[in-house]
Amino acid sequence: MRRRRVSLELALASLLLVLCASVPAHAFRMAQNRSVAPLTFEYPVECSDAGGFGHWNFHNLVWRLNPALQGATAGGGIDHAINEWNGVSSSDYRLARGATSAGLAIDGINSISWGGGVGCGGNCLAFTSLTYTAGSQPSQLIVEADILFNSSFNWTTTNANYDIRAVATHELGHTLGISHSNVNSVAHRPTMRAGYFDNQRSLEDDDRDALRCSVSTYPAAACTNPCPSGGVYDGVNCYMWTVLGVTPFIWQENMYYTASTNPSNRCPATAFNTLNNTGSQPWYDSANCVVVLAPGGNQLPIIAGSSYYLTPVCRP
Amino acid sequence: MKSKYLLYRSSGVFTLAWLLVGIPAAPAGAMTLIRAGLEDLVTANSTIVVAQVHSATSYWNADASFLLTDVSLTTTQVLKGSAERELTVTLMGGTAGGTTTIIPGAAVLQPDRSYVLFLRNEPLPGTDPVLTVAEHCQGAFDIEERDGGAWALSQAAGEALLPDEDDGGSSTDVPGGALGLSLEELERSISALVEQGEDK
Repeated sequence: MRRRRVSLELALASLLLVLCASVPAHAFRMAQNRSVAPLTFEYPVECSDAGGFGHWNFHNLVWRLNPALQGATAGGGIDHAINEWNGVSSSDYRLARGATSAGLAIDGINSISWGGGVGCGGNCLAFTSLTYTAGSQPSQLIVEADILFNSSFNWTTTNANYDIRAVATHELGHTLGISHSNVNSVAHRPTMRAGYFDNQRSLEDDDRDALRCSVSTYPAAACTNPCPSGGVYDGVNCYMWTVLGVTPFIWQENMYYTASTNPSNRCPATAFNTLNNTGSQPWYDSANCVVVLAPGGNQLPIIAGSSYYLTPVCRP
Repeated sequence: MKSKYLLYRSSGVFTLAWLLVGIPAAPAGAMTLIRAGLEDLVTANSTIVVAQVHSATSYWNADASFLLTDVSLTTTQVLKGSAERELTVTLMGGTAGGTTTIIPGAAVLQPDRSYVLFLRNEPLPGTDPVLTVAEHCQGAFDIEERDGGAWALSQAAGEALLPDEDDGGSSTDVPGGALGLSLEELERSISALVEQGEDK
């Protein structure tokens, strides 16, 4: 009797092993926007889900880092995370790091910042805010993402609690439309497997496959004319004019722009249009050049003599 | 027999939309959260209520820099602190105009549903301190009718949480685990922890 019971237990154990072995090694999930206004949330889905998942139209993305409050021991962590995702083969996503003094805001800027207690206090280490275009159906088009780290924690780059490289790589994955992975192999635990940060400073195949899934499902929109309004596209480059309208320069990614000191014309008449893509024009209020950066009215004064970080906008 | 938590019924397109679509059992989270045990939740939050959602409204904050959503609730039980019968809880994210902002991993409060909520006043982007679910999905328990009784299931049940190693813990389980616990048991545990806290 006892022998029969042992045999039964062995059979069940074998069956369990077979079932475990049949779980696919690649079990990444993508994040689908299923919001029902006004409440918002995402749901993990497979890459082939008919409802799609969060993605960007363009794959050259700039992340603006605000290092205030990050602490002395977290430096370089964000660059590490960016490089990890840039290193995925067969992906044309290219993330770059810029600078900003802004923080968590819906302002057309993809920001990475630190804060204490504003939305991420207590047991929250970090979160990602994803902004989508709205539509009659939940849109899957991401137009902005912001990451906020809780400055109350002691961030490190030593693989000890809490390693900014691991958490930043994980959160950046979310901004690319990737949800949490089900793979839990200790040796190859994906970065997108939440709950562990022992081996997550580097991407694993499951993470890479998730990004490749996004790239193949949503190729970058064709950039037939990258010029903001007023620019001239010659098929290769977009030429813009300076504020004073004298010298043409090539509009390119990561270009710094210095506003004119000419008091009669401090507004870059066309360049800043593209930041919010709303078509609104900057205006001069006798003191500053003002531009609306976000639907809803967030305004940024363009102060003469200051430098601003611009991103080209493709217009398919 | 209907539960007292399902007594409130509202009407309108908003409710209909929720009935048609509904919230999936486990929304995706994109937060990195350290596991909070029940004792942590009780200690860290000033107000704990059982409440039912009846409406929600999204809006831009005062400086138009972020979307927030005010969720209106009717309190059916106060387990810690004090709370008005009609309560407003503010959450980050929402939909207004042509913009939808999601904070994956935040508490999801659905109209006509009841929850156990762990609340405290904290500033949100562009606001003074407001009553909010500061522990995000860990601070909200769905109340479900199951097996002839009311059960409470943490919204963090589908989340992978980090163990609170600084506290000497290694567990990543949410209070009640994946199946939740009876509402009565959760209420009893919370009340006991509140009393312990008052005795200290």
